[in-house]
Amino acid sequence: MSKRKHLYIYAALSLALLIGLLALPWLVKSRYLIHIVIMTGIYAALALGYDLIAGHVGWLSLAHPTFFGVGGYVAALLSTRVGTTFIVDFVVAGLVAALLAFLVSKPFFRLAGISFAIGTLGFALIMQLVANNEIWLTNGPMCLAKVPRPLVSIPPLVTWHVSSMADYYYLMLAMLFLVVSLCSRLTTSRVGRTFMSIREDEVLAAAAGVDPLKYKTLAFVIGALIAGSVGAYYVHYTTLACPTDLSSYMTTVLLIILFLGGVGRMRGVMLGAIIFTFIPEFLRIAESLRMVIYGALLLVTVVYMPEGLDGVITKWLRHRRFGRSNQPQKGGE
Amino acid sequence: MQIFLEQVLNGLTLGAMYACIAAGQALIFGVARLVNFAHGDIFMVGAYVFFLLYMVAGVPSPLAVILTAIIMFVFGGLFERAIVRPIIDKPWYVHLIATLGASVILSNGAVIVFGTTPKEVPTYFSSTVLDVAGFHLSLQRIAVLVVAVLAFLGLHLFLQRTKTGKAMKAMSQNREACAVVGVDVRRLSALTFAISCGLLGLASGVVSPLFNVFPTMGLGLTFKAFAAVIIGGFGQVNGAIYGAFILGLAEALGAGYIASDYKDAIAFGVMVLVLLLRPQGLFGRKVGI
Repeated sequence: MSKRKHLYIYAALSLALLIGLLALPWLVKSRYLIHIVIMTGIYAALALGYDLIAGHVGWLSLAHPTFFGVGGYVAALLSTRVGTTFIVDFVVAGLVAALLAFLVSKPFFRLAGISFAIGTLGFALIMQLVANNEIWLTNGPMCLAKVPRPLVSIPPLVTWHVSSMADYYYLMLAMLFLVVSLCSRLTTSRVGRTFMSIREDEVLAAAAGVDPLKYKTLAFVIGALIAGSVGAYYVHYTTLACPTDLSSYMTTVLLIILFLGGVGRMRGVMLGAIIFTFIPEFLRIAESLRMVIYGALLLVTVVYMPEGLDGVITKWLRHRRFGRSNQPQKGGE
Repeated sequence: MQIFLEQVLNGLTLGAMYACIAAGQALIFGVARLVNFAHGDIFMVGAYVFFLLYMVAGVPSPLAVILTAIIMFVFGGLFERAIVRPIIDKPWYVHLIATLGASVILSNGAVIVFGTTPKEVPTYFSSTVLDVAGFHLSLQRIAVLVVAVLAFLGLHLFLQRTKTGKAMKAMSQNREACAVVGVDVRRLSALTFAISCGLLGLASGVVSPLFNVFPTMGLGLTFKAFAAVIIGGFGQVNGAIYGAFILGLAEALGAGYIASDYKDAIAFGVMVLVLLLRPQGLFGRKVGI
């Protein structure tokens, strides 16, 4: 009885959320608010890809924004110099980022633990220097500007000139849907359980017949694929591709989102993105004070609640449900 | 030739600064098995302490340097107590996230308190330029070298000769065994942070007149210190010091003769190569500081 009731509530909530998400541009007229929602979606998609390697496999790469930035530059160059449409940019940016990740994964996965983190950090710092200095390609700190508005075209069926905020919002929603379904398919399958076995005990996983290197590379490359594609959307949205997209500040932001929300948990990561991008816009506090608060929250979270906010919420819900079903039933309702 | 020698002097002072940061980093990694992502930001805090003492309170600069070192020594002990002790027994990624959190707090806290405008701290030493046989030698650069060499000598003697220093060396080789034979592991770990941060304070006091002081200076220095530590071999104090001087020289000469755009890439490129090809460092030993 109560189990079925929960199922109904869950279904009703999901439906309401879906309708709410689809109807948002009609409900909310503020362009600014929609902008914040779009940024939240971008960070959520990027962090979900990052969570594959950092959360599910448990290898903390500090080079994730590199793939985001490289994807952005690829899309910006393609659309300004070649004149490709959005879907081509989106796919090629992801593939180039994935290829780069595949090439660097071979040497870096020879390192372990903190050496892996610092090695990938060194790679990220060098790539940012390249973006800053190869002005012929990237226009350096002046950024690649005037990336055109996306044209989504699947001839002969669809020709969609994305121009209004609502259009950008729906495009973001489509991208987020793609990323969420890819990540959930991966993490809830046999592959996802293999990821977790590597996180828990790599030697044991190898002894059980798993090839850890194969699965680590898979998570790393798919994370980069997602990052590159999200980067393509990002430069089409902001019309700029800048070296700061590759910076270690972005890495810090991603780590805050992951560890605050709940590392290795999809719902937690999305919660983290909302906490990081959406809520502070309402609180209206200065950027640096906000970062101090996030730094402190990060410290407290990682020490006292390593499963993040989502872990706390899940535990609380389970406790409530458990408590209720434990009470003696006083007749049917 | 003259330009070359001046570049060498620049490289040596740069190397001395990196060495003070990297030696502390290596000491902490050796003794406490923790990679401190906030190390450069603690250097930044030291630089602001020096700025407050010297420019605001008007303390004469040599005294201000010593006071900065003492204040940062205490700061290091407090940092260990507040941030490191709760996480020291947790896995390495918790160390990374927590110290990164501390770095975010320190650098953005400095923005709130001091603003983003770089502060200049010109001293008598930095404005005095000696002309020796046609060379322009800034007195401050010589002071940096002298102070750094004295500090490393002191650190070396402390680790080799005193009982506490020997205990630290022992702890870097085997923490559990030290605890078993009655070494106060916690007190030593706090002392390690205090010494490392005192060294940072000393360095920030003598170096900041050469460079400006600004809130975001720390993270870049943390990364440079990583490079030096890795070149020298993880957790080896002497190796880190050699690594830092190599880096400083390579940067100054590279900027002067090859391309200044990519001078930072030298450090990170060498770091990645050493990690991949010779993970025990260039002067590698397996264990111990």
